[in-house]
Amino acid sequence: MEAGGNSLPSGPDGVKRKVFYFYDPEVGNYYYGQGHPMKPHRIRMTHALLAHYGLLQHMHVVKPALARDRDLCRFHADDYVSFLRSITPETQQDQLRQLKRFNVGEDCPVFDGLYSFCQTYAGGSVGGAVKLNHELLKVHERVLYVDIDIHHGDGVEEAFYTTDRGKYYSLNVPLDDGIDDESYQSLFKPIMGKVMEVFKPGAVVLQCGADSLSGDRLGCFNLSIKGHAECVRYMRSLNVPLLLVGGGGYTIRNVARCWCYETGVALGVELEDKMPQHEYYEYFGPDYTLHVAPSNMENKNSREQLDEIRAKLLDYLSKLQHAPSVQFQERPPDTELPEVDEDQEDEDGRWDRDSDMDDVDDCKHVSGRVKSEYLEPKDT
Amino acid sequence: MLKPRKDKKPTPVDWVEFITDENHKLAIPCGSRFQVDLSDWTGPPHEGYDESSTSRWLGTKVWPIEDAHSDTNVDLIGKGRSDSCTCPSPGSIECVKHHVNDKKVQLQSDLDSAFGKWRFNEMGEGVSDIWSSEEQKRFDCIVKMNPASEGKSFLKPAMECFRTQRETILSYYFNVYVPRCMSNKARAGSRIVDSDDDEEGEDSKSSQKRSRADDSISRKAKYARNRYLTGIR
Repeated sequence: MEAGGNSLPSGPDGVKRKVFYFYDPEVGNYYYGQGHPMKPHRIRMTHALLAHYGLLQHMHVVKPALARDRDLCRFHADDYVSFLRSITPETQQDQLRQLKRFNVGEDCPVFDGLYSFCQTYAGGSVGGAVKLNHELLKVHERVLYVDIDIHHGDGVEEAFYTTDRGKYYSLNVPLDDGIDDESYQSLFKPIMGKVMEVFKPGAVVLQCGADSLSGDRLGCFNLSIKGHAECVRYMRSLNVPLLLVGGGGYTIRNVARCWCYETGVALGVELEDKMPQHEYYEYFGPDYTLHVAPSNMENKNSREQLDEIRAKLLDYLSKLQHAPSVQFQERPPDTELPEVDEDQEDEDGRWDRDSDMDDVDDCKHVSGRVKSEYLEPKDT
Repeated sequence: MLKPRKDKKPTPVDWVEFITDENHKLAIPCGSRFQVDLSDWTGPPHEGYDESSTSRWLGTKVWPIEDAHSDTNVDLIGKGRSDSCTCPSPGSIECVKHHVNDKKVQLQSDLDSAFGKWRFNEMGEGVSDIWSSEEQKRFDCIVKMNPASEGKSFLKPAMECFRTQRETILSYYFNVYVPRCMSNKARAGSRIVDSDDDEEGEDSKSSQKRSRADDSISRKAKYARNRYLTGIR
């Protein structure tokens, strides 16, 4: 959604930015089925808000290319892709074994147009990534992937864990219900700042899952839109080519609010709170404002717990910084963290180093939360 | 044809032995006299060549376009609605419809061809023109009789009743039905107006009674939270 550059004269931070926005007008028509919380219609609602706040007009807006079979097969297994292509709501009863094998049917249901929906959003993401690549200074840049969705990015983490294309680090930050803006930023900024300092990525991908917002149908955090957007603002201020992608978000009026506001942040534009009348205005009653106050739910993250998490992670990052090639003998920090409850949620930061030097097989997955790397330069 | 240098050792007859024999260093001619004259490539990039496949990924440009009013005042970026209006009943359904229509006309002027490409003509209350008021009431009934909380879906019954495509039904549902329900609830004094109320079969009275704190742990939220994205297979 965004690439570095120069353009818009206005902006509170005074820095000019060129923003590319990938949108397919078909995307809002896909329907997961009645009762399912994922509603692609939210993206169309976002689009209408962007137009009526005058933001679309100040971006380069592109209809993405559809990802083809061979594109998807660059990562996914051939049989998975051909399964997605062939499965329909009518034939799924005959494919129970395949459905179970590929974990399709409940969270990710079979619906009409499933495959073309996959082609659409994959095309958008890859398009943004290609655009980002054009902004990179060097060929082998490190990429930082940050995920602020309330749900852990299992797929992404596993994808990098099993890749044979270089070194990979993963950092997961365990958080409890009810986290508010201040608590969240008290971790996000120092940790991301340290990550940037240690790894100096050439590009950043920020997954902006909006289910970490207050009042989400599935989520249980208590972030306001401004609090959520602070992550975007912060990553943007680091002046590295930035790709923003969507993600979760199941109270669709809040998703549209959030992503519209965050597009404003990407452009360096503040939006007035009184929402302009537009096609989906009635979704935003009774106040019809852009911002909504968080709830009074209890923040189960104590100051002490947050301070401890921050201190341990910053310490771990410092050790990596000063001795990146030394094999660690100490136990990684997460094994000493308090026992993780089942209902804790994660804020994720990941980074990937494209290097042919180090052995990925040395990577160990500890306690299911923080993965640490035991680095050993491979003899070349 | 290259010739090996002559030396004291006899020429091996075995080819493998020959080429691995260090004493027989082949003279490879190099230097400007031995370079081929290769003209510059002027044809299109080979299919699969990185650059052409890269340009495919950049998609189809929709905005900016030349003829549009690209002189859209920079001061209007981020502007919300006016504090007041001259409508007889400000904030009413009619007032909103009036302003939404005005904004739509303005947007069409601003966006030119992009307005249609982005399907703004298929968004909003205007979609209701496809059906008469009687048909619209019939649709309302079908949705109410098929709540998600009972494992039902309005989609197929509506498609059968109206003998139309699913796209038409869904378009009406998201552009007309849901916003109208929410509009009614908002004007009935409900503090939390949720588009998912219909799917769970809730009525507006229980929405009104619920406090803000309770909403975050409301029955419908608990149901959804225990069913989707739990990480449990």
